[in-house]
Amino acid sequence: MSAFAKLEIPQLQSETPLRIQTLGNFQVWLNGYELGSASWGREKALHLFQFFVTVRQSGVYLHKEQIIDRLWPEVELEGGDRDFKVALHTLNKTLEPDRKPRTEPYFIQRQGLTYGLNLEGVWIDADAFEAFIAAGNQAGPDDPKSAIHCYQQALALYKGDYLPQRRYEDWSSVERERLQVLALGMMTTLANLLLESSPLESIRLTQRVLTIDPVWEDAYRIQMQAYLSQGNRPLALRTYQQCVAVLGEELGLAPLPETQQLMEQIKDK
Amino acid sequence: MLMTKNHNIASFVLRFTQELWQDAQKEAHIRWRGYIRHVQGHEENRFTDFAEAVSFMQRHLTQLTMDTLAGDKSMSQDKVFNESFKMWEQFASSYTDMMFQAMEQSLKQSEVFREQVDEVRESAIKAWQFPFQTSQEELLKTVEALRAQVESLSHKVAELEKKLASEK
Repeated sequence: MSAFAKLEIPQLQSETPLRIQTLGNFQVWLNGYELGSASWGREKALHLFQFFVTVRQSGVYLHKEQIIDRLWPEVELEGGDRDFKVALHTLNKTLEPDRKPRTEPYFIQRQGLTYGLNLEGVWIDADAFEAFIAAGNQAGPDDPKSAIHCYQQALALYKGDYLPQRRYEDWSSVERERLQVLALGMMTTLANLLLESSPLESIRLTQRVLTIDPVWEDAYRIQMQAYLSQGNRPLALRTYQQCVAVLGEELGLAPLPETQQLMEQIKDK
Repeated sequence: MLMTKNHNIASFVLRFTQELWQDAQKEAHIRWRGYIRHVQGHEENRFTDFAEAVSFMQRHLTQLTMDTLAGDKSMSQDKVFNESFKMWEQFASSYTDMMFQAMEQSLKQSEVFREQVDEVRESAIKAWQFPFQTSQEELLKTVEALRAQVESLSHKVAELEKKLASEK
């Protein structure tokens, strides 16, 4: 069995009934059809669904009061309870319009006073993204070809920040930060792996990293090496100058010794 | 029954990046850098000195408090600010303990850190600014508490220096 075949590769194209995109934009497909903004009825029903997606963990449900506290912090408990019930009812109607009366919903499950997203039958891009990175890490330096393939699949999924429309809601910020750090690390590692075979792609990836985080110093080093491998010494040195300028301006720091040594090697060539 | 009149939230995302390397003499070095973002607003900041992150949060919380109080004349503004200042006293004490534990790396860093602690003390007092009339007696009590805290921190720095010097 090839090393690639041993990796646990998540399904990229899923046939699951509910498909959710969270990275770069929020979109939902129910049985293959996209749920447009009008489908959600109430804005708060959409918020509630996005919240369930964000706090998802297999088998872990949140108490209704915790949910109300996070999504309706300005409302007293009684009013919050009422608003929650209305939002939940609208949400269930959106996700299961043909559900028979007095049957339990399938996607938003309830156990007593706790609620959570049923992860069976749901495909979420953020989960696939993370699984591809894990598979790439598992392949590691022993199987760089498989690692590159996995990271490229992860890259294709990372269309932008997690739930960008909710960037001012603190309940989404932990997940957004966590996924962004994963993406930065993955792009840097992939850029490094592609240095020999595709230096232009390395440059593109490191530019993307630096757009997100201008002080991600590893990206400067890889970019310098990529320019050098193309025989472009001036651009390699210019990249170093940019590194110096940005680190100095943002943090009052000099580049790490490793970066400085690389610059010296380039100058000596 | 206690009534919560206003429930305002300020959230922050803090990211720390640790950089480790060895110099030519195989001596290990560590460098921390940080990033903080105010979730409910647009502002973000990068820092190498954690005091800047504390100051960033303090600034936003002060503004949040002032915005809230501007529209509510029923609350005693002096009292609200004094209670907020006490919260920062407690926070400063816990944060410095945490930083000492995390930064037992080099004597040079502890010297730098002692300077930073002094700066934090100075900027913390200035940041609150006491925009309203406050009794002189209360102000003196607060400053005295802060002075005692700085003395305790200086003592800890001296102990750390002794420990590191004996390990060299």
